[in-house]
Amino acid sequence: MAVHPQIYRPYQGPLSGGWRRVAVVHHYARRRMFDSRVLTALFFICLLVPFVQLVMVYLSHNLSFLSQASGLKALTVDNAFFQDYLHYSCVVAFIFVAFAAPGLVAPDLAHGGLSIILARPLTRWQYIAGKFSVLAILLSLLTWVPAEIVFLVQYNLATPDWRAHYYWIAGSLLLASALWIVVLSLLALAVSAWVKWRIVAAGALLGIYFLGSGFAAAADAALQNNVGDLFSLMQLHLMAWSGFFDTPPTAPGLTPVAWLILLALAGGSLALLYRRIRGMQVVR
Amino acid sequence: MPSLATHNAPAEASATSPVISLTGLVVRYGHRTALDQLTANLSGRAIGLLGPNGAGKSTLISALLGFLRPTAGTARLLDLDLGRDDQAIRSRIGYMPENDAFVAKMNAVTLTRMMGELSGLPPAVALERAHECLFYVGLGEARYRPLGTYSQGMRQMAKLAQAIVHGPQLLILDEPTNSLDPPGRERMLRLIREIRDRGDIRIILCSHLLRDVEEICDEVLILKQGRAVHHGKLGGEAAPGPRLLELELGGEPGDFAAALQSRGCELACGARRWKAILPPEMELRDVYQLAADRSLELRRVQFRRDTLEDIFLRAMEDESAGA
Repeated sequence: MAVHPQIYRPYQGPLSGGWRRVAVVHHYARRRMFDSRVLTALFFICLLVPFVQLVMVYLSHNLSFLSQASGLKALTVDNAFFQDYLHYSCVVAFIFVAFAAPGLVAPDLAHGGLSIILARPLTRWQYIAGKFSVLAILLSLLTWVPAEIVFLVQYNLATPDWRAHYYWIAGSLLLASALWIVVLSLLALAVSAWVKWRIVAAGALLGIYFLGSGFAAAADAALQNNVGDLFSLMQLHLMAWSGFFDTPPTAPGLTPVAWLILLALAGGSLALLYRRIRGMQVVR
Repeated sequence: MPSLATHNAPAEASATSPVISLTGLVVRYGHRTALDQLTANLSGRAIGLLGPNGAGKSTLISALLGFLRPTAGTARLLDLDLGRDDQAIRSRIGYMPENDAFVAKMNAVTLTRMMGELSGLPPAVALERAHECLFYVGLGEARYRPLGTYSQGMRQMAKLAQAIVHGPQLLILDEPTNSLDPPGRERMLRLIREIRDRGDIRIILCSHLLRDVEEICDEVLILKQGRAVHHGKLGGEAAPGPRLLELELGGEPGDFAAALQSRGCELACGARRWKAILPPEMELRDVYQLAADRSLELRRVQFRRDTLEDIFLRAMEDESAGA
């Protein structure tokens, strides 16, 4: 065991710049997240989705001989295919975030850790940026990064005609994923900041998704229209994505409303998060 | 390699320059005024911050740390402007809060290292200093245990370690001996004294325990209802308040009492032991002269210093009377 002398000595060496400290927040938050073997396993399970998609793309280009053997029908890889793929990826990513995000902010708040963290040369925005970057990077690895790889594989295997027709899907994947990542990360961080218990926070996030979707389906059925979709986080995104992927909107006429709701959700989550991240709790 | 943008220069504030300058500082929560026109220049090596509950001590600390925006007035710490140089100020401050401040599943090394890195230390240096500081505060053997499993006394020591890991120029200690048993309190006070005596760290000690402040501090600011009711040096010639003299006489006093009273002294006379409060214009040699004129032997002459308790109680009473 290393033994250190019981003396105090001052430090007069160099100090790092302000944004390096955002990386410090990121580093320790990510490390804490992956201390959990369950979360680590869940993250790698989530990566199975792009792997399956990759196989499907490969098969779509080699189906001529497979269809003779098994009678499979030809798979069409187009803009709708990539939108559906991103949809599945985002659902899986949501499940990962529901279990991972509650451990990001709540532990710092639980025992007053924020009071010593924010007493450092670190602003509240930098703290939020550090935590946000953890989710943003991990969600990128689950959504647009593998999606772009799948797209590149398809791009290389496809005919020149397909390439000329669908080259823009690369940008659509990035934009659609970015929207999902920003909204979901801010929402998850806000829930983590305001809900003390990890399991309750995970339940709240899953509830927002699944109960919202259930309520949306019930409302659609009762009202005989698509207005209920505005209560579903995923449907809101699908409405917004229809513009990115040039697919028919799931609820025609409601796309601008969906955008407004998503922006309000992200802005509201950020405001709630910023309000909670304080060095001291003000007792009025 | 991290970008190395700033340098932590040796203590910039000299021994006599103010550590903290407050000018008309006002902090309000809604309609409630927590700090009211606070003006003071604090320049001691160790400054005690005293006051009853709700006096504004924690609010002042929060304002100094930039957690609260002053409604009016200005504050300067270590020659830096609060509000404009918040980040630079925080990189020079070590803060030990009153309440629990840890992340439950982290061990002490990881937390202290993280705090060092957040203050700008390179990772390897932060790790080395985290070990050193934890050994320094006596947590060497327990440094890899999760902080959630620590006793209250160990948590206090861990808070001190994280506050000094980056070598601050100003250490703000909020009730550092809270929840400590007598040996733990002694140990904490010894560590604070050692840090103070190094001379390169100024200390602000906020405590309800007057004895702690008296042992550590050479300057004191007493707050009441958000206002400064007393500010001054502790100990020696600079002791505030009236000069109380204790005299022991060697013979019959004669008209010595009358002579002292004619010079403006207030007296409390026993058989041989007297207590006198000297007026500002009267010197000790005048007392000797009056005694010599009467051939009166003075066996013992001693100024009685005000204790911090005297100062504190007087400040509270004066303020009550003023109100």
